[in-house]
Amino acid sequence: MKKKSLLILVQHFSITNSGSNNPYVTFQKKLSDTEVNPKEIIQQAYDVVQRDQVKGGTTILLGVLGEKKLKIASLGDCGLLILRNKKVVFKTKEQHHSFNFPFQLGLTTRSLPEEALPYDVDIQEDDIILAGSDGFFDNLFEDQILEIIEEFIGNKKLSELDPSDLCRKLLKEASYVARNTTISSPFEAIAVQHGIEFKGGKMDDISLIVAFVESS
Amino acid sequence: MFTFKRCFYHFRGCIQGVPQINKTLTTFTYPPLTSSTSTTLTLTSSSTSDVQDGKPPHSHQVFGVIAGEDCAVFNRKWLIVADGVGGFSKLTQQKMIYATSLSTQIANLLGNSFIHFILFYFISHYIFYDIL
Repeated sequence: MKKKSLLILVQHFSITNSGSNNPYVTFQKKLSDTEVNPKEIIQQAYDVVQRDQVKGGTTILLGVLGEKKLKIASLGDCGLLILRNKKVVFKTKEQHHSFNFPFQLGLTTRSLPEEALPYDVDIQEDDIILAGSDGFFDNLFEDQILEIIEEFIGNKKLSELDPSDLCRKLLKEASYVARNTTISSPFEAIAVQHGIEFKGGKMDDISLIVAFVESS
Repeated sequence: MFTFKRCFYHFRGCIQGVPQINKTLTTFTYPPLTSSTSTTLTLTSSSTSDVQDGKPPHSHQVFGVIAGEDCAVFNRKWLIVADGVGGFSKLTQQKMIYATSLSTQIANLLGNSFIHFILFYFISHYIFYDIL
């Protein structure tokens, strides 16, 4: 295998949308909780991006907190998990055309926003929300995630804990599995189901947002 | 009424089989140049020390991260995760732009016209943000 090199390059950029020709202005409106419809929002955003002939494609997951619900729309294989009292109470479903070929929006892709799966999930204070890319969910089984969270919480109240610590633990483990060629992973299990010989974790970008729900 | 206590985002970039990417990218345009209503996103150089301590260089209510082919944008009320699909190449940059563009549009529809993005091409360590 070709030796991999690491290049650390960090840049940031900001968007300024001032100006009369701002393409966003007409879409910029405040939505109340009851009005929020993630699937419709994705559709409207998609229409603009398609209109602008932006090349490429992407999976997309949007979660919006309402008054007592988390409203979600997801297309592709990003995931969102809700945990309550150390148990998984909700998980989005992945959408694939075939093995490792997720639904995605794009100029030349075959999926459409209307195919996004909508969810309307009751939430409670102290719920834990994990939202991530397939790089995370392809490398950790649900049981492993739960085990890490159980160990993290222990006998403490969630309010005493820092979600960043949980995020670090989860990502550290996911990254470890991704680089390992012997440990079983969800990606391996799915590959085998499709008759594909694969062992170990899946190297990929791994993104994870960890959020604790609190009353405001 | 609920809010997210805090949002955190971590990233470990995929480097397997990744060719060198354009190191000198200093501008990023959305929509693409073919559009008559292009908005230029200005990229400014930053150092890894800006983020290694767990704090982004600037504080904003809405925060976006482009990490390899992943893109995440979030605040206390909503979150977006998008994953551009494919290999890391010139073409992939286009896919990254699509994910970023779509996420930006969604944020705008949710009433947020300003997003601070941090862009990572390759990174060898975990990144942690406490943005709120």
